[in-house]
Amino acid sequence: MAEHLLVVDDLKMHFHTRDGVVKAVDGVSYTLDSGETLGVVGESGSGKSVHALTMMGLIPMPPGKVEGGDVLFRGTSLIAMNDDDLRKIRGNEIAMIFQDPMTSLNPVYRIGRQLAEPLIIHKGFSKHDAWARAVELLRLVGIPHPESRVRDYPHQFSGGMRQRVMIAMALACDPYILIADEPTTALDVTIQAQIIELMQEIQKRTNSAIIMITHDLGVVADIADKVLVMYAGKPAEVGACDDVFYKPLHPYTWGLMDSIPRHDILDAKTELCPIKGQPPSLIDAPPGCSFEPRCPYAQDVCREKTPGLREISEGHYAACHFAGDEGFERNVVACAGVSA
Amino acid sequence: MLQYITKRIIQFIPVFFGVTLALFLISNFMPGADPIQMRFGERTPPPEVKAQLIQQFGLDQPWYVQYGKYLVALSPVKTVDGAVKWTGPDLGTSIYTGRPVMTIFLETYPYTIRLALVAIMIEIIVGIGAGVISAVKQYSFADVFVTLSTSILVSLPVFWLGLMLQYVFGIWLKNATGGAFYLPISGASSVAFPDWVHLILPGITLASVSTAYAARIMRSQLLEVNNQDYIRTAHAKGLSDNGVLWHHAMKNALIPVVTFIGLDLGAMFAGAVLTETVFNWPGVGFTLARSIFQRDFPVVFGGVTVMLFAVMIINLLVDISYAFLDPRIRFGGSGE
Repeated sequence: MAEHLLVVDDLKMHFHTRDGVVKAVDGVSYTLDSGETLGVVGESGSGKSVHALTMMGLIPMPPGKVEGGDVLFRGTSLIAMNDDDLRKIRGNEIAMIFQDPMTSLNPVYRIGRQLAEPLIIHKGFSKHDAWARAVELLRLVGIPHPESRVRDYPHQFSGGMRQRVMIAMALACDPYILIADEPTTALDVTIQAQIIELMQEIQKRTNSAIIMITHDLGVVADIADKVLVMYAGKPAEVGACDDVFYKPLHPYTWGLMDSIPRHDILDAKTELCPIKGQPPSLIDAPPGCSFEPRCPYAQDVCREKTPGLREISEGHYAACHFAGDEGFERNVVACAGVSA
Repeated sequence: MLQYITKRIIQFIPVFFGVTLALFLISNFMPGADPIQMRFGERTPPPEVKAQLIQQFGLDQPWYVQYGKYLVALSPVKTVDGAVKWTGPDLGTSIYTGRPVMTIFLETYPYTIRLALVAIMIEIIVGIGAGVISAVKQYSFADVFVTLSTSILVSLPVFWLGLMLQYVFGIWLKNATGGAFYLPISGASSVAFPDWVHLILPGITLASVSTAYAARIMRSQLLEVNNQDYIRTAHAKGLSDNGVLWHHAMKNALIPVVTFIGLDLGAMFAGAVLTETVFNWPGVGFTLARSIFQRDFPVVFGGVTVMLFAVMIINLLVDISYAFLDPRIRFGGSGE
C-alpha cells in the first residue's frame, strides 16, 4: 500500500469542561494525497474546524484532550509529536488559512513582515531575502503593485485582498497541505469565486493537498475531490465528490442539499427547506444516532444504536443504519410537508 | 500629524481659560486669613506697610482686573516702551516670600521630575512585568498573588501608605537594627544618606497605585489579545510561544498600557501633592499645597499654570507615541 500524505484515523478530540465532556470530534477518519482536495462540510459546531486545529496542535490542552485515534503526516504521528517538532511543521509543511481575514492579520505590523516571518523561522531566510520573497508571494496571489503594497498595514487592504495575503502567507514555505478553514465565508460572493479560483490555480502549480472546511456546498462541489460530511463531531458520510453529490446516502446530506436555495428547480412560491431543529448538545450525548432527533426517516433502531461508518459502495461510506438499503431514498415530499 | 498637533494645541485654549478663570473665581471668594496678614504671622503689620503691599499686589482691584493682569504678565511677548519684545512669561511675585514665582518653580520642578521619573520606572518595570507574568501564568500562584495585591494596592490611600512606609522603614527598622539600617523619611537630601536613597520611599509611594493599575491593565489586555484571531495565525505560522507573546501579543496589548502610564506621567509632572507633602519633598506639589495654606495666590496661580502646560505637553507626547504603536492611527485609517 502506497503511503498516503495524510492519514486521519479515528481521531477523537474531547473538551473537559465544568458541564461535562464535550465530544467535539468523535472518530473522524480519512486519507489525503498530494494534489487532492478534501471538502469538509457541516453545520457550525459539527467539529470540522476543531479536527483541523487538532492536527495542527492549536487546541489548548487542557481543556482539550485527544482521547484516541491518530493523525499520520508522511508516516509520522502528529499527535505523538512534541511541541517543538510540531512547530517545525506548522506554517511550513502544513499551513492554515482562517475564516476572518479582517482579524487574522496582526494590525500593528506591515504585511511584508508578517509574510516574511514563516520564511525566517522555517527556511532560515535573511530578513532582506524574506521581504523580497514576500513581494513575489503577493504577486503570486494577484495583489497589484506588490513592491509598494508589501510595506502597507492590514487595515489598508480590503477583505478579499487580506484573504489573498493570508493565502500568500500560508504558501510562503510551499506546504504539503493547505488547510482552509471557511476561507470565503466572510467575503463577498464575487470575491469568494476569485479566492477559490486562486486556490485551485495554486494547487495546480504546487501539487499540494487542500483541506477545505466550509458550510458552503457550492464551494465543495466546485473544487473537492473527496467530501467528508460531519455532524455532531462524527463523520456522517465520506466519499468521492461526485458520489456524495449525485448519490448521497445519509439523510443529513440530503437535508443539507435541500436547504440550498436553487433558482433552477424552485419557483418563487416554494419555500426553502431547512433541516428541522438544532444540532444536539455534544455533552453526554444519548446513545443512538446523533441525527435521529432531526431525521424524518428515523426508526426505533436509530434511538438505540449508534450507526458506524459503513462502506456502501466502493470508497463511499455513510453512518446510517439504512444507507444503501433498497427503497431508502431522499423524499422531497417530506420536505414540502415540513415547510407547509 | 502636524495638523493633528495644531488641533490639539487649539483645543488646549478653552481648557486653559476654563481652569485659570475658575481658579481666580475660587480664590476671590475663598474665606480665611488674608494673604498679607499671613506674611506677618502673629505680628500686626503697620497699616501703611499693609496698604502699600495691598496696592503692590493689586489686591484692592476686582478679580477680573487681577485676572487680566495675570494674563498680560503670562504672555511671553510684551510691549516695552512702545516696542514689542520677547520678555518670557512672568508668573508674578510671591506675597509670602517676595520672590519671583517663576524662580520658585524653576527651583522646585527638578525635584518633582526626579521623583516622577523614579515612580514611572517602577511603574513600567514592576507594573508591566507583574501584568505579563500574571497573564502568561493565568490562575497560577503568581497570578493570584498579583491580582490580589493589586486589588489591595489600588484601594490604599496614598498618604496612608506613605505614613506606613515611613513607620516601617524609617522608625521600626531603625529601632530593630539599633540605628544601623533605615531609610530616610523626609526631605530630598541629608548628610546621612546619598541623595538617591531619599527617593526610595516617596518613589514607591507615588508609584504604588499606578503600578497596581498598570499591572491590571497589562494583564487584562494580554489575556484579551491572546484570544484574537491574529494570535492564532501567529501560532499556525509555527512561531514559538515566546515569539507569539513578545512579537505579536505585546505590541498590541501595550497600546492601552502606554496610554495609561503616559497620562500618569503627566499627572505626576503636575506634582504629587500628597506624596510630596507626606515626605516633605520640595517639589511643585509640596510648594503648591504650602502656598494654598499661606493664601499665597500668585504662587498658586503660577503653580497651576505651570502644571497645566506640563500636563498638556505630556498628553500631546502620549498621543504622538500612540501613532507609533498603532499604524491605524498614524494613517488615519479606520480599518473597515
